[in-house]
Amino acid sequence: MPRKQKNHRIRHTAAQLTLGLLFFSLTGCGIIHMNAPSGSRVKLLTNNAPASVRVEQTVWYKWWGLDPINPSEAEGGTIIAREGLTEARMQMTNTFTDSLVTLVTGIFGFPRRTLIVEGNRQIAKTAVTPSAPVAQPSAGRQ
Amino acid sequence: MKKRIFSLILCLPLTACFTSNFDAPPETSVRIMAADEPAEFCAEHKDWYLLWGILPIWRTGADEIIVREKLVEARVSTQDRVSDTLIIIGTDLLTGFLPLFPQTIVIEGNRTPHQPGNPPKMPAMQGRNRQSECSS
Repeated sequence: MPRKQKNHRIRHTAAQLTLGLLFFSLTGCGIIHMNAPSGSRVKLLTNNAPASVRVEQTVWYKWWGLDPINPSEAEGGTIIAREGLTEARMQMTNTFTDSLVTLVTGIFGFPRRTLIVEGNRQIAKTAVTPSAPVAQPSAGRQ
Repeated sequence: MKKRIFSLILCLPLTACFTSNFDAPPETSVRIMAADEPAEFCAEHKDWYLLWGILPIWRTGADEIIVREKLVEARVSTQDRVSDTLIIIGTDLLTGFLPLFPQTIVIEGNRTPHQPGNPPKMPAMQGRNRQSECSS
């Protein structure tokens, strides 16, 4: 095989590999645990129950999602403990912003996701009462 | 140069926006389990999305599984695995850049409340799609 043709072939294969790697890096992996802190008794809220606390946490991963940079960030229990919640619901979401950011950072192996925890610090007495917590930021969720 | 720009454009559809919820079914009392508590039930399934997450085509909510399995305590983890990534890339190439987006959801729980120091029995896992994650 002529040298020029061989070089061209190597370059072509390298380009294909790079493209494949790029494809792979842009999607990324990642685990989020929606759990409670150890030794706690946290009630799971329904989808439409009022929640007075809402925390959105960005979870960053290294090695294309193999490990979270800060493992406690990928645990819902960390937020529940920090906020002192007695009832909660959780949501893992890959927002539009996460997707846009991951397009750039994913190439270097750092994808991101968002963990949302909503809840109350004391158990609501009834589902809908005037004295129930007011904020309902979860309205209109999927 | 044109080829490089084209390659980048091809990569754009490989990310998606989607959401997985962990909430209780109506009129039930479910406790959220800690990571270190034993679970007698474990099930694993995939949620599927089209159109970059806009269109969920097959999604099973945690609340549906909690009701079906009569769980009184549960925890959930969402996992974007290497296999999911391969499905995205594969369907992207096969369909002409209209990928399917899967996400693996693992739900664990107990049908009777867990008492500290009295771990629940561990019968054969009864999840429909039990895989390595559930058996570990």
